[in-house]
Amino acid sequence: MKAAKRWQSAYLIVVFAVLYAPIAYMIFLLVQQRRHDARLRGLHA
Amino acid sequence: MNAKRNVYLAPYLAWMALFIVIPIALIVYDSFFDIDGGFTFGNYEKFLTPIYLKMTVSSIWYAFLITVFSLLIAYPAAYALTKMKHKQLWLLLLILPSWVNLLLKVYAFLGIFGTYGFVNGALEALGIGRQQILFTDFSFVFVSVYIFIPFMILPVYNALEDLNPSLVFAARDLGASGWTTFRKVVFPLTLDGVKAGCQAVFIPALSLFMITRLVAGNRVITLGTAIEQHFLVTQDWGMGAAIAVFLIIAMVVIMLLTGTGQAGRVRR
Repeated sequence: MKAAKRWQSAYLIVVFAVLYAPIAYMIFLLVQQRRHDARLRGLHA
Repeated sequence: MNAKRNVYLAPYLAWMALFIVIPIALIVYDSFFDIDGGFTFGNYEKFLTPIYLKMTVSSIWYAFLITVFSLLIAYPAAYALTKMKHKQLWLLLLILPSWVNLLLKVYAFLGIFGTYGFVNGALEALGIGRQQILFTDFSFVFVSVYIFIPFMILPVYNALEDLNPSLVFAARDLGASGWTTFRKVVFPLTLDGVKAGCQAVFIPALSLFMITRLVAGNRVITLGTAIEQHFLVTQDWGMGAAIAVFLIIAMVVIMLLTGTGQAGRVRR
């Protein structure tokens, strides 16, 4: 029973990871872009 | 009493007429005209040529694959959800990604599956090397399944929630294994939810066009792509409408085949 529950939780975590992967990737890109912009601003200052 | 009911029905009927009946009638009307505006049955004749029939079979095949994979992933997820402690919260978290704009998610997958994307980076780190993932059938089916999973989870989850647990306990008490209980009790009793989920996935999957363009790079040509092409590129609205009429008929057939037959049934 406990093992089944563990499998269910693990499966749900995988599904959640896949569902949120593109959103997380977009946020990652946004942060990267912001950092890049800040670096450029620093170079031009 | 009847007159009062008719008054309440009026907005609904007006809505149905404006946004369902008239647009469908316009599509049917348009399908009988050629590119020069002359009356013709040629669009339907053209639709029955091997090129369009092949496209139809391909569309149905991909929609079928998307529905099957969505069901295979969504059913266990919905089942696991019903066993969780704060299931409403988890369900909300599962539905949340569907609130994000579709185009944004598709663009994210372009980055994830791209040659220098996250997946190829991981494959290279594992020693497998970079692969062509984007612009393949796999990426198209994967992204489509990703988009449709919440639409499959919801009806299945509702059906599983409505399932009387004492039936499952009775099956287990009578000596049925977990698998037998699922096969003979749980799945048949949640079939209505599965059918509703299949409808919610198969019908829109038949007419996908944006994902075929962006993720499959036009390697996958579906009826949705053909309609878009006829309306926006070749400007042959008649042909586009004829394909749309076929899609409408296909959708009605699917709805009749997967109908739950619950109309008028009183819930006890």
